[in-house]
Amino acid sequence: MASLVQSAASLTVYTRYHDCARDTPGWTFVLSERQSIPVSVSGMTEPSDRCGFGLAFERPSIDCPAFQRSQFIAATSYGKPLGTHIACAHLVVGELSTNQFYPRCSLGAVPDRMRWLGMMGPARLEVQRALSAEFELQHPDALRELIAAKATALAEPPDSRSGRLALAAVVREFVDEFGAFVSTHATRLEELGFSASDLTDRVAIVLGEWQRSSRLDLPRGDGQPPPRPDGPLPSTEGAQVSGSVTISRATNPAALTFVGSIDQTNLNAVDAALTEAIAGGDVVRIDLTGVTFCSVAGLRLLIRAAKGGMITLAGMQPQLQRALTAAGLASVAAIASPITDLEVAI
Amino acid sequence: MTSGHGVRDFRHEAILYEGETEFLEGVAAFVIDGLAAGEPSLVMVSAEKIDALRGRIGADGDGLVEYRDMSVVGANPARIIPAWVAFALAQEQRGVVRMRGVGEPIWPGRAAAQLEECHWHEALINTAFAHLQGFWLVCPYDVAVLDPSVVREARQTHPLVSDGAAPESLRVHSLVEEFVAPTFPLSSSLPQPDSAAVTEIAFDSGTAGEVRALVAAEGARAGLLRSRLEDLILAVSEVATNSIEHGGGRGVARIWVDDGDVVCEVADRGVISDPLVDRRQPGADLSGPRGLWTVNQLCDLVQVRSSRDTGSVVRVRVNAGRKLA
Repeated sequence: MASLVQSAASLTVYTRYHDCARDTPGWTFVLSERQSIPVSVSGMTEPSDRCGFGLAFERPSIDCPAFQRSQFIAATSYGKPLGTHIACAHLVVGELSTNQFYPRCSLGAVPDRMRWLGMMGPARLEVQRALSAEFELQHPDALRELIAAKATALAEPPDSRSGRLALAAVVREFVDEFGAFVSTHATRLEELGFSASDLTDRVAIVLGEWQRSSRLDLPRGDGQPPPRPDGPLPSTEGAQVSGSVTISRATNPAALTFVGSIDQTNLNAVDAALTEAIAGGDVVRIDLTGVTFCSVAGLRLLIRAAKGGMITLAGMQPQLQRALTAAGLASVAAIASPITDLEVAI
Repeated sequence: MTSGHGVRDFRHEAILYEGETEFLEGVAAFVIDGLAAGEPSLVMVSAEKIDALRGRIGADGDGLVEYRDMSVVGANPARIIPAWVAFALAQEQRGVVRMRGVGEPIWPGRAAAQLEECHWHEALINTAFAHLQGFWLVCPYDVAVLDPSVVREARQTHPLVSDGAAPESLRVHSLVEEFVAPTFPLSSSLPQPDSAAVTEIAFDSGTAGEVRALVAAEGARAGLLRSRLEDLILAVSEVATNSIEHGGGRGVARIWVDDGDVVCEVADRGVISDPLVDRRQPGADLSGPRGLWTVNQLCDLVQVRSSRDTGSVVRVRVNAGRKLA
């Protein structure tokens, strides 16, 4: 089922979000250890976007913060079911110049995964995950029933129609159940940028095509890339990673980009970067588009910098703006230096 | 008594009324008396009562009467004192030395945890305004619909109690014998949830991020909207940061669902000594604490308990909007 929700909406499923603040053992270690091993393929080095888990997604806990559970029932090209598989929504097939294949993470290397996580934000990922899990809980057999009906339809002789009619009924029922589910949760989905009716339409289209196809396995995604936050991801080149935040600097025009979470583990680094940026005396654009969490102490640093230097705080996400108001800092910001411009990102 | 222009001490008075007519007569008379003496009023009651009072007092009392919907301001009772403070400061800046307030923080339907915080709020008012001369605040309690235990509590949190709607017309102010100025820490213990339904995590400065991850996962599972979830994550993170910075460097976070609310609690070994710690409006100078203040703005209810023996507990609630009617 999960793969269907996903294909319909690029909804992510079962994300294991360990906060990026936890920087040592866990997944970073696993992935970077993997990366650091040179591969003995005639001078080739390991691709940085290799997935550290390969086919080992059945483990109860995948220790990768970007992991998004994707459940599917595979089949051979002859229509023989191969059972239910768990994979990651970001897993794709990569190819080396030696024509060898490897499990590739479509998000990219570890810093790219971190940035993706930072820009998606824990709340959005977890709400998506919870919705997918709740659907699976309410309709635990939906996926199996679809596959069983399709297998019967594929196996029946060409002059029989009962199997295909039964399949059509199962698909209809599924689309109805899905539609009812998403409309129940329309408000929550809308906040994530999904329209309940669009989702239902897409599920109907994807399943309709599948129903008429000769494939047994459900489509894993309809060619849609995994959900990406709006706007381009900032470059990580020369970026400084401090705990859960990535800090990038640019000149001409002067800019400072933060991605991730600003919390007590990286306040000093954020403070230092802001102080350094202001010291030049230029107007500095502080890009906060990718900041999904900022503690009150972090907001205080940003506002203090805004009062003390010529900076533009740009791209504040709604949650940061609400936090600014709640902390009583919005009014402080309003009386900050006139050049400070709190751009609003919707 | 009303016509004198001398500055009187702060008066915090409960008026025990019965039914809407008595409320309207008493409160309108109180406000109109104030108008006659040139004293501005802030009236914070329900929207329906505001409408009815406006009809009686008329034309916003020539700009001297301000109304605010208590169901909004007092949704989280900890936001009420700052509203009174803001009103008093604004009057002071205009040179006004005598002012009045009407605040009805308790109405039928308040949940048990909210009621407890409302009583605590009423008690704290005595502390918050002890030195604010010239402010006369009356708190109407509808004895016809409120539980007798609520009225008993009101008698304990108000230095003055009038039986009957109109404080000024009655002129019978009895210094309540039971009244005891509240002391802090508020060391009472909070009701404990069924431990099977609680997810718990110990944290220190290295693992505070895991608290955010826990709140994100559990809050989403409980059905919170993304925006409410983000607010809750920040709120709990601020409380956990307090534990790390002021509460011995570590703490325990717990999360569960209760009566349609997502409830998060952070406990540590620190002792909170300022009873108004979460209600002091931070200044514009960027210094001073604002963590707990922020938590109160983000959450529907915040309960602070602290004692030397047990340490501190901060419990916050956010409504998941799934409450059964």
